[in-house]
Amino acid sequence: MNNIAQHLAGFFRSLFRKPGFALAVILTLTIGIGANTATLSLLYGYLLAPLPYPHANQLVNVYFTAKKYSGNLGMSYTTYFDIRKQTTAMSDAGMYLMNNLNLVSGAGMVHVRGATISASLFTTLGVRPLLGRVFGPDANAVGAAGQVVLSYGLWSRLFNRNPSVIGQAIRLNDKAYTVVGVMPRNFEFPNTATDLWLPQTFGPFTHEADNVTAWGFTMVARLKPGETAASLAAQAQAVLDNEVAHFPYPSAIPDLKKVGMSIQATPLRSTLVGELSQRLILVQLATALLLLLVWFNLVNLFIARALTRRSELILRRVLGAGTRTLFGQLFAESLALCVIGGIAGLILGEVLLRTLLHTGFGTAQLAFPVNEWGSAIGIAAVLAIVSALVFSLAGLYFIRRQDLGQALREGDARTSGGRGEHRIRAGLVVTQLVLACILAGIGAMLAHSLMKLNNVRLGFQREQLITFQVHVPGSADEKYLGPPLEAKLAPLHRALAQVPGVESVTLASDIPFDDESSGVSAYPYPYDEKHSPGVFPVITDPGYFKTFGIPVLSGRGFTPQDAQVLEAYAVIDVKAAESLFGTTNVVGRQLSLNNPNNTKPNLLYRVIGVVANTHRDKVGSAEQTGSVYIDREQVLQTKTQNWSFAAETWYVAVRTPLSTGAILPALTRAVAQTLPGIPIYNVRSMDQRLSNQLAPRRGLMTLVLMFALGAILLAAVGLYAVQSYSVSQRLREFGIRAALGADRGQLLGLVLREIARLLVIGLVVGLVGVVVFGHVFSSTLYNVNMADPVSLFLVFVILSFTALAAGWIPAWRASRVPPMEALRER
Amino acid sequence: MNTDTVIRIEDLTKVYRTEEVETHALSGVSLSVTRGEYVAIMGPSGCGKTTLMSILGLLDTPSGGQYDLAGKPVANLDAGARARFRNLNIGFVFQSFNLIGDLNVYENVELPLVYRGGVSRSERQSKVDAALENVGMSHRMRHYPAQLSGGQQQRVAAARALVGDPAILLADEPTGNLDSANGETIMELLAALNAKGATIVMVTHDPRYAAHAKRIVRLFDGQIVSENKSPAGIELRAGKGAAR
Repeated sequence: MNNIAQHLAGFFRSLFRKPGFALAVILTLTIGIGANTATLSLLYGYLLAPLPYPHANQLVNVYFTAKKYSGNLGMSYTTYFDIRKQTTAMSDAGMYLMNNLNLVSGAGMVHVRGATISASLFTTLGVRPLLGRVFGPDANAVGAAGQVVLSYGLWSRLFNRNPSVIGQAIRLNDKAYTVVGVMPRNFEFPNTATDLWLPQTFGPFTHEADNVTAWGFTMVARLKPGETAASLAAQAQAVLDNEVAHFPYPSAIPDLKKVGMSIQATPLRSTLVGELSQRLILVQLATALLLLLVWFNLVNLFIARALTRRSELILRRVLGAGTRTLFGQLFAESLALCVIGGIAGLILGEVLLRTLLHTGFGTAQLAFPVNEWGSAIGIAAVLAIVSALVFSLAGLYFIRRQDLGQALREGDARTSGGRGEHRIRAGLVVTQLVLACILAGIGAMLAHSLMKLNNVRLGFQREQLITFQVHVPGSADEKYLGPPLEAKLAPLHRALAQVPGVESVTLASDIPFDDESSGVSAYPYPYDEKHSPGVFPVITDPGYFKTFGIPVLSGRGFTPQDAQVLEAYAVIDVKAAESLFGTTNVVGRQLSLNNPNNTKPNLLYRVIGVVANTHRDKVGSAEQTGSVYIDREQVLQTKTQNWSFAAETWYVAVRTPLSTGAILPALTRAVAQTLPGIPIYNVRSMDQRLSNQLAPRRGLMTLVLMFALGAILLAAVGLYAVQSYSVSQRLREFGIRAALGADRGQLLGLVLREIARLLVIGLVVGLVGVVVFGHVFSSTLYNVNMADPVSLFLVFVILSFTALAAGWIPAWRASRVPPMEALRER
Repeated sequence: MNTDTVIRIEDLTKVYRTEEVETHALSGVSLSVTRGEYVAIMGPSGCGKTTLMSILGLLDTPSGGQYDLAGKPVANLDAGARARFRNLNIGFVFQSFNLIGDLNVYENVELPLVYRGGVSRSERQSKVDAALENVGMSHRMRHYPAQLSGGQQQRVAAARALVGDPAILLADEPTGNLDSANGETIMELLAALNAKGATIVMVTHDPRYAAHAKRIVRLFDGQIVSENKSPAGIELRAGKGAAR
């Protein structure tokens, strides 16, 4: 132990005298460990660490899937209650639904995000309030008093953490509620943007047997000990099959069966984390590649150092140091540097992690908080120790190769460094080039993909469009529909249109890139069983197409006079026209947005115009859904008795040459004049909405490009180091070649050819690697082939330029070696 | 000047300057070597032998004086022209062989022809084969230097020096790293090459090996201090520096 301490003291003295090596190791390691600490912390926090609920492995999300629609469709009330009653695999279950709400308290009216839940959700999750209580079993009953539980965040923000908030009255969407509890700080369910929880009223509608397909909320169940998600899913499927078989309208059963419904149960984590898990894994893959590159780079550096210490190490062996002793010394040296690099990496990782969390890792909200420090320290420590082991073993391998007798014999016969050593080091450089190539290739493909997404023809003019949301209380209440609602919306529209700078304005139930859009089935009339595509219904006004700049391709758009016409009109886009009628020549045709088997009388809409397609879903999504536009004023004035759709939240879109900041105060005043006290929220230009939608891809691309940049620099440094060392070892060889008549160009070419050889191997293997790894990232690419020639060419140019630039200096030095000086080298 | 004169140096000086010291490595050396001659340069360590050889081999430039090689003034050539002239006119045999470890025997010998350019592969092959045959190393042409003894390596070095048909072969202590048996073999090889017409200038500190040469030039403190004229009639004069 004393020996090690003494050795380390000497080691540090030598490092202080020549700090270049130590600085290079620490800096490189800081980058590798820092990036991996951040991403591994996220990966562990979101995908591996237990969820912050007791026995979290028992929690599952139960949901519908259907052949006709993609993904998780959520749960319907009918099936939820039947599953609760008829299955035995779960001990408890709850549900939730996210809502936008206007909250009125002593601080005025604010917009909040609330989860409407069953009282059983809290007991299912097994959480307790920080203050007060959660909801009792009767909280969901019709006529129960309004109760609300606040999040810690909202309690802090709006009520200054005042404990006397319990029992305080507030208003949510014009209804009275009493605050009954405050949840602890770490309870952010289902995501970090949730401000409060309020009970869902389970009225008669929620128990109607024909609502099997009224999906839309999320069901969370707690499995009994010993039960599995699969067993619950099987029981729930039997419940669903029974519901379909006993559907109250037998004529609709074949249609229901065609939908191909089934029930799934998956761990709750996958629902909470969602798409984030895929990005986490992809980013971790990229950071792991970076760490590998860092290791290869440093192994090369440690080998170079071992070679320069050849005589010292040989002497130590001659003096009796065994392999174990030498390994101990080398490990102590490596560990000392790796611990410093690890601590610096931990700090960098923490900064990176906080940045990632702060920016939402490219998403609007994160699912739940992760433990930022606890896991990070462990990860950094493990990485530092593994790094030290890798480096000391590499050094030991080369010491083992330093045979004294061989070293003595080498002098005459050999004029350059050992062929084996050089090959290993060149191999390490090639590996770095391969890794850099893969990272750069993937980064280039992601960037190319994002560029294409930014230039996707959206079908509307996104420039100079400002949008926001207004919550108009009572809009969804059937009793309130009709002229009373229009009496609020029409003045709002007029007031906004009169704001200076507004070129046109529209109010709509839905706009492109609305995260909360929900589709419905549309039916051509006369009914055709083969055609019932999903469409987005957009309730709007005559100003919509002008405001969004959507061209009318045939027929016409809405006019103010349409409100007086008894027949209901619709304008549809090309996609809806083709999916409904199989043609775009559809002006005059009729459609319905209600299932023909529904009990309600169907309202038929006559198509008066066809407009261009717009991207409403995710940009770049292969399957865009068609849109059916309905004139709000016409329907509200005359058709409310047949109208099933309502929106509490209305989007306002304003076309203006002014900036958001310049026009927003006037728009806010216009809203306040017509809807006093109602806040506007979600203010964004259309450019920002597009940008937000691309944020996850951009976040992934930015990280991968950052890592790729680091990888290219590290590979260049590695190449430079190896070539510099190689040239210094080959000075005598260059002298001989010069003596034999090689001119400077020939010597320069000799070194550059070697670099080119390494580069070619690195590029060939690396570009194959790009194609292979490109498959892993393919789900995040848009219109970019896995062997995207633009990306591959860019990587080829950048890496070639960087590698040749890195190799130029040693090559130039080799070409300037005076022959006599070189021949004197030993 | 005799048209057979391969090397002619006149009043050659070489001064190494540092911030504090000025070292006169060569002081007014004059020397002529004619075609087919075998000259040994002798002298104690530090007398300027290696410096003279470096300048003769165009590996270094003189500080003053004149140097004509194969009838052309070469003292003030730039680096590129020196490399070209060296490749065409001079063959080297070094004390430490200076074979390139990563190249095999054939490739080492071929190297001067590769740098010369314009020599076809088949022509290179026939010249390399002949050179290796000349030194008795044809059977080892695929071996690497580390697989050869010192004497064999020096024979390969001699083949490399001769492969380009240089005007002169410069040997710098060619036996310095060899045992006496191998040293003697190399000296016999050089004598045989000379007998076939090669012009040789050899630096040595060993009188036994110097005796193989037809003329011995002795250097001391950067000046030629004596000479043994051979029957071949080599012109030898003391440098101007020596007269001062």
